[in-house]
Amino acid sequence: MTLRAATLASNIRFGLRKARDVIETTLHTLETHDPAYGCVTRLLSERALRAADTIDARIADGEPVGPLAGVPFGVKDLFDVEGIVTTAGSTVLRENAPAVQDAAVVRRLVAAGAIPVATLNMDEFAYGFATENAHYGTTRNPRDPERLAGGSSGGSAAAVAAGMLPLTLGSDTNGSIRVPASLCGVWGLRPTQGRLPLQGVYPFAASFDTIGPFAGTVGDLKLGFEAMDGKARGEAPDVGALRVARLDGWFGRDLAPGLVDGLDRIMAFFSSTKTVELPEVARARAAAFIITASEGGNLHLPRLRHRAMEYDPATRDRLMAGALLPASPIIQAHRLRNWFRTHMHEVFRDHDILIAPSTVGPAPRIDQPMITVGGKSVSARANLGLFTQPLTLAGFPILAAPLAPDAGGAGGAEAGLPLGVQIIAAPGQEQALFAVGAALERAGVLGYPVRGATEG
Amino acid sequence: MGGTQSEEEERAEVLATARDVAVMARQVDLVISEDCLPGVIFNTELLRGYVGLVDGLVLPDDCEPAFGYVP
Repeated sequence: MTLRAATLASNIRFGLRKARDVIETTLHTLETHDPAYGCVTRLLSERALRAADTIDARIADGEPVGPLAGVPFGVKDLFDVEGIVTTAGSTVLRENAPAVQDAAVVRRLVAAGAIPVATLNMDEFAYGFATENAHYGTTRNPRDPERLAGGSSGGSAAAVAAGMLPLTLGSDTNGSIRVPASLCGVWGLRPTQGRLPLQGVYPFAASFDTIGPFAGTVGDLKLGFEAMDGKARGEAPDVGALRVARLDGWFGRDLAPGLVDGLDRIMAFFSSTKTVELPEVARARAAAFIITASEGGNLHLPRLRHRAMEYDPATRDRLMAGALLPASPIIQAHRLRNWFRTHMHEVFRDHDILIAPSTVGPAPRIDQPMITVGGKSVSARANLGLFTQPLTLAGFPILAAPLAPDAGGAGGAEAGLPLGVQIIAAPGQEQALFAVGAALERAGVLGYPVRGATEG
Repeated sequence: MGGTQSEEEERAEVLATARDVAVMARQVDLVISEDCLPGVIFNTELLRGYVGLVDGLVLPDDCEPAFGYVP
């Protein structure tokens, strides 16, 4: 038995397995396996078991139960879950009232039959790429627990990588789905900016905030996204007819050898040697930094005036600096965003899919959180978004995909660690991303096996 | 001597940023405690680098801010 969402739902719908059995097993797995990784902040055991019994009863009565019937899922701890306080990875909000209803996308998943079982760890207020949380601990990478899981949706990515959950939810403001998906070797999706409703999701930087799913296979990712989207599915394009190019320049520097090899294999699959160099990428990244810092700083300023010492120091100092930014560079950053978006649309007039790395290499060690950029060793926490932040600015949909171990594993001491790529499409073209991901997964170029706890 | 001078310059720069931070903090009614000040100064310097990059691109006058508000 596998913990793939599609298989689980199918087995439950056709009576091969009880939803209660799946949820009990999942809760047991989380209780026994998670202490090694630190993904879970709260288990939702009572609610999950009640929901499982309801699903089983509906099946027994011959009622429809949805495409995700009985599938357990976890949510980053910034999605509202009815009856509990949304922490956003902080203790600052603990006196808030419990959520009166689930976040909109959680409601959609529940309507599709899925069952929320846990809230998951994150960087405080989603401001980081490491999931090193002063209040709830560091989430460890299941591929090597001495390494970072990435962030800020680290608990969500690691829970899938560890085989503890088939489907989780995260948010991506500057790369918080794409970075941990890459470091943990799982699939993730940052949908088109504004496509999924943010109702009931604790904000960070409203201009960029986006939510999306993680899964162990692209098929499960698609299933999760379609339930979250709640709209009719678009038609998948003919993958062979897509015009594919690789992003070069900024996105071609400092790459681990395994990443270069993996990107070459993807381009060989499409028989394409085309490259594209986006303009002013360093400035695009700077604009993303400024907009994020200023919007995050403004959001937290009322609390920072009176309760600053309750924040994680690293988060607090960045938010304070952001709150002090004057208006002119913030407006200039928004103008640059407009300019960059125009250029991205021009690129997509001649291309359908762009390919880029997600990070420069595999997950950094927790005790040496550094990566090499431009020949220099720099802080991983501040720089893991090197390739994700500039693309954030445009708001186009991006599939975070793990290279297959044989196609792009790191060498030497980092052998066997996952590496990830970004697959970018024009706004609204998520179905093209899923089609490309599925074709590359079938070809053995993408996809990284989730760990042994998949036996359910 | 060169190294010492550089350190002095660096110290002067940090002090100047600290003064700027104090002024900017007053403008938004934020008191920054001694515990927070080094981290805020570091992040302010970091953001200044990004402000320099963003300001360095001359944009056409008709390039509007990409605010998301749609009435």
